Amino acid sequence: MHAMPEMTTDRLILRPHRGDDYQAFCDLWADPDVVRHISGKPFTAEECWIRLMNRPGMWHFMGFGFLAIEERVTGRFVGEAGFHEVRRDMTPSLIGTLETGWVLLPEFHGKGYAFEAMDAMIAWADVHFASRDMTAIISPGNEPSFKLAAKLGFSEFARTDYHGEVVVLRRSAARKAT
Amino acid sequence: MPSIPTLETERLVLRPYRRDDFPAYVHLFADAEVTRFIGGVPFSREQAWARFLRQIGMWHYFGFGFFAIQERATGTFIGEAGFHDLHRVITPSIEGTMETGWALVPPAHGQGYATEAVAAALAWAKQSFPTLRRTCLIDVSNKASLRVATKLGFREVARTVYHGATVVILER
Repeated sequence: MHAMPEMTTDRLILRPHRGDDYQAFCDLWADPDVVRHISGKPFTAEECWIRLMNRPGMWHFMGFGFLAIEERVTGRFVGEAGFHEVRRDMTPSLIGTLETGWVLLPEFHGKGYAFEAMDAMIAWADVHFASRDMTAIISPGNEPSFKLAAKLGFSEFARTDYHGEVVVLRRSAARKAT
Repeated sequence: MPSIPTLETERLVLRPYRRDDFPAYVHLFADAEVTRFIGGVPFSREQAWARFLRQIGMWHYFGFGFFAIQERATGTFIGEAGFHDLHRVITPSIEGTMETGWALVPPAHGQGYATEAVAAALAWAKQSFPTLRRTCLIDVSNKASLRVATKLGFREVARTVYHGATVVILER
């Protein structure tokens, strides 16, 4: 298995998920505000569990994945961020890219935490997966995520249907040279 | 992450999943006969991928999980068997037990492969997790799996409804 990295930023720790994150992980994925633009439907406890189980699998098979985000001052679970390959049934296909994602509990929104976490993850990926494009899919209407994606260097390259309309964004690998 | 063991039986090898098992894994769970009693609906490729990833997480968090099953004679991937804890919302609860499961491609059915594979997995479990209970959750109409479970020493402890299906909970 590829080692799962750990990273520290000014205010956050990014680390592998743990089994005892389960309760907080459920709070995250069952929150209607969190899922409003991600499937629209709160996850059941069983679905959350399976999602938590998936996380190490991505690292194992792909060498990249999501990390849990913890607030340094309080040690509290804030959310998760990172890269995955979901093998979604959609066109254009995102397979072979680093699909980027971030999800934070609402009480931690508006503090720049998502940017801080993704900035660290992207710096890591720029070293370990230098030649891969990054992508992201964001639902129309999810303005905070569009703003963050733009700040991280993503721009729209397609719109498609994936359980509803989504915008596909890309941050090209070539960008890193700059 | 604990290393995933490899177990050998007379006709089978139970081994860690490899990334290149994925096409065969998609094929396994796209088969309506396989999913008839596992959710009831064939998996999309995307759903098979999520399950494939989850199997690794089980090893990571618990130190047990499912194995890929390979036929020794041909080297072909024929299915999976092993243990999980899915935190199912079910009464009676089976959380904290090693829930035992198996799924084989239809051409491999009827040859005693499931019994052979699960028996090896159970022997390993007895060594590695001597104090954990082993359970099974089987649809009441899944006669073939109930037969395998009985042969392996599982006995019915309860019947209940889970996701709309009547299921038998067994323990060994």
